[in-house]
Amino acid sequence: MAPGNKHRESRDARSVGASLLRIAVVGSAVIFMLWPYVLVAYQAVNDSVSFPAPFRGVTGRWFVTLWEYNPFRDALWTSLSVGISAAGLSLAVSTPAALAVARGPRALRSSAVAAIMSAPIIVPQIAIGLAILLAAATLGVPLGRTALIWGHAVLITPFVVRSMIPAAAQVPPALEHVGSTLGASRLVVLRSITMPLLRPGLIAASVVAFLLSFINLPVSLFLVSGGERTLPIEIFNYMTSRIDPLVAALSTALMVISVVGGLLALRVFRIRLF
Amino acid sequence: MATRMQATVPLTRRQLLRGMAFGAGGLIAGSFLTGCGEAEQADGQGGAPTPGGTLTVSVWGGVVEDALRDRAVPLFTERTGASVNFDTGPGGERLNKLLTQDQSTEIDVFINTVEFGLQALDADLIMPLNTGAVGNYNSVPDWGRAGDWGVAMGINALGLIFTPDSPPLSSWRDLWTPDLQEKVSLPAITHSNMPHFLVVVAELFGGSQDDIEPGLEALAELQPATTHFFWTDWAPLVQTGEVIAAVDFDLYANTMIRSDEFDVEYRIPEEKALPSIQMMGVVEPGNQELAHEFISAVLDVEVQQGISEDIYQTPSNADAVISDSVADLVIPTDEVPDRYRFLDEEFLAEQRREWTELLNESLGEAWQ
Amino acid sequence: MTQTAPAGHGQSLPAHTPRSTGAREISRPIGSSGLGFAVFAVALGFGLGLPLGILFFEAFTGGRLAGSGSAGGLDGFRLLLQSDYYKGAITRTLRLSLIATAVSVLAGYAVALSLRERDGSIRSGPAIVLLLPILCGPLVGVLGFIASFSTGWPGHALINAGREFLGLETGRVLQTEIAVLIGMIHFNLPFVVLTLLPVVSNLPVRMLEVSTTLGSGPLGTFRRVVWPLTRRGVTASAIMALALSLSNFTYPQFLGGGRVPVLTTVVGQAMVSFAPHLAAAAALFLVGLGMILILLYGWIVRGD
Repeated sequence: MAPGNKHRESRDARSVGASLLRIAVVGSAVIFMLWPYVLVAYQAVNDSVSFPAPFRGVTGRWFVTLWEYNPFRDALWTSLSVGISAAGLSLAVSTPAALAVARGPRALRSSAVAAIMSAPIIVPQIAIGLAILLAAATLGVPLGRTALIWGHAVLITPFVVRSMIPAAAQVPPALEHVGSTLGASRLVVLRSITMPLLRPGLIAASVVAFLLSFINLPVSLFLVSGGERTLPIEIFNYMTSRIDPLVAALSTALMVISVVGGLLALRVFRIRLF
Repeated sequence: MATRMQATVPLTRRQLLRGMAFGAGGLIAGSFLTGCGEAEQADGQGGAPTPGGTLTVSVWGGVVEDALRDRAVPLFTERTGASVNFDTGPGGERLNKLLTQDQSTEIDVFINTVEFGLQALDADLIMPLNTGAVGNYNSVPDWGRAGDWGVAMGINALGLIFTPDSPPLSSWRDLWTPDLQEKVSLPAITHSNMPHFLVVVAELFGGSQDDIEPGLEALAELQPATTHFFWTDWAPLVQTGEVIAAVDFDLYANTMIRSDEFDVEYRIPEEKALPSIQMMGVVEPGNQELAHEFISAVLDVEVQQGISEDIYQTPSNADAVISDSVADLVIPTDEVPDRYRFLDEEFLAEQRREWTELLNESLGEAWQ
Repeated sequence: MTQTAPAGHGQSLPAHTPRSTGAREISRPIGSSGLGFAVFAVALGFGLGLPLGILFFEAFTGGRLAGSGSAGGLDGFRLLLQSDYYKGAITRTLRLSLIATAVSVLAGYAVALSLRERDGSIRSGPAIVLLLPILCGPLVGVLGFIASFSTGWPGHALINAGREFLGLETGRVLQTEIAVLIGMIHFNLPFVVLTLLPVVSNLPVRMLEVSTTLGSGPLGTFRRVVWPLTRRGVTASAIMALALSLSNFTYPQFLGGGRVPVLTTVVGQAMVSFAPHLAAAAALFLVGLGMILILLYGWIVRGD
């Protein structure tokens, strides 16, 4: 009995220590990540035109201005639709590739293949943007949404496939074999066994894909048209010609909406992330 | 494994949502892709007049774009029934975009510096102006015209900006004052006016545009607090005291002064300021008729006055009267040749690449 | 159904006719043909390879992008490898990218593990708070960092305190390497965490419990259970972080301001000074560098 107690005690002490460590790690990460955005939020409500500025009083006027500022709204819409389309396109191409790398010939798991698959990520994005602009001009593809989806899909695909490979590797082929033995066709196996098991990886990859597209500036720079611009481009335009905190108000609003929205969605739909 | 199987039940809802989202996204994307094609067709090609339609203007984003949108577009739309889209960005990027797209470009009016305009002209992308179709063309002085292809929207200039914490600056030479070191913001090597600045500095120290070595050496002796490509790179630092002087455009200095939060002064150096002309050109493969209409609208007297108010710009239309509200900040049109130093833009365009290398070599180490 | 006659002497057994049970054979798991990769390669070839090919062709032969004062051919490479300025940019790119990768992967791994609950689920609240701000993009991050690194603000004070502690010169923080490095880490971290969360969440609960029951401390459990099972995920995230660091443009451009040249800003600078041959050379160099690093990493780790 006594050794068991001691074992349990030391385990409790260890788990308290472990909890403290976990809180410290996550806490410092959150502080490090959020710190710049806190400063930006401070500027959004600080009653001052310039930034950074000492505290001058609280005001909500920039949010009022933001509400009425159309270019940001139009650009947000463009960024959302481009992001979703590019993410979808990219996932469609990346999922089979990830399965192939995880389960296919051994050669696909060599570092040479990894290097080839990662090479597009390393190409400077300005070069990608300019290259696709050239190709679009040569092939007669219109700028704006179409070219943006092309550019973004190409940009994010290597990231997506790289983050899907570990997920694909963790899906046991044995389960699929069981399914087929029980009479399921290849398609049914794919839909009801493989995909659900890929789900955590798919979610992570979709989020990565969408985010990379949504925040992108260098590739978009050359692919936007007069009438269709992405949000980062609008932010860039504003930020490099004006010093008022409208951009700060925009990003604060974006952050609050996405964090609150995300937390709410988790609660309401009781979804487990991963 | 059991846990995972159970977890698939509530997640069907999630899968449904994601499916819907992707489906919706696909529909949206699809509808916009087709809509995209239609919008592009509305752009007329060549000289045929288009009732209504869309004009695409390439110009700097932000305040410049807004000034055009607020002042010039209403008049233009009234006259032609056409709408305007602005393709915005820094000057160099927009030139690259134009050169890359070449004959299939969507741009109809190209507003950029003279140096970049010349490059587009070289690539046969800008055509000679049909001056008969440009209203008020004869009211534009010589400095506002570029060959037979360009007419200015207006003119701003690069000069000295300083705060009360700085010794007052009246000459380019004052930038070398010891008190200013580590506290001054200088143009970055890729700044649109860096070649011009280099020439002026070279001349200060015994060189010329053909002998810029003295200029490189002199610049290497400076210790900037920051280098800027955009004015917003340094303006916020004035509040923290990190920057007390800068070399930048009057447009931005005046914006700061008018904001009532910055205590800065703008001074044209005794050696004259460096001009930055927003030169407008008609893009050859674009909608030439509408382009000429737009340029005419921009040169309209009232439009010029409005733009001058918005971005503290000296009008290029000599008949335009500068509003009282900005009279203390804007140089009158006829004083331009006396206060501004015009350089050989064609020569500078040819030198930019080589001078960038030389600047990298000399300043790369020194300015780190 | 056929009945088989009882076997007699000298007679061979009749062949057994299998009954249909509805079972089908998947001889090989889905994806094992490797075809998916072929499709991927073709898609990427047309989507990116073709445009890049056109770009490099135009840049090296002095095509549309040349502008006035053009040069072409291999001058770009020559410049990259001979000029001190560009050689400095190359070493700096390597140095900053490797450090940023190492720090962000270590930190991201620790965070992902810390977010994991005992039963494998992830603590979603902190995860969301950690990840979603990147929706605002690096430009907004830049805004915040510029404020933070200005004189009199906490970032500036913190960095200079650190410098003093290490016996280094204090002073300007903006437009220095440390500012760019912190920016790069800030950008990488959410992506590393995001990639590792599914991997960490899928750790088999039983195996961890067993390890503890058998008397292994947390370090032992980590070494013998957690690490081997997450190694591939960590490798994938490391390669991604390396790629993100090498190709990062916004942070070096704005926090470094042209005074902290790395290969991406060199490409940008070359483009606005109309030296497309240099831009193309720098871009190709960067890609080559990245591929070599990844190959090296693979060799060191000897991933399966």
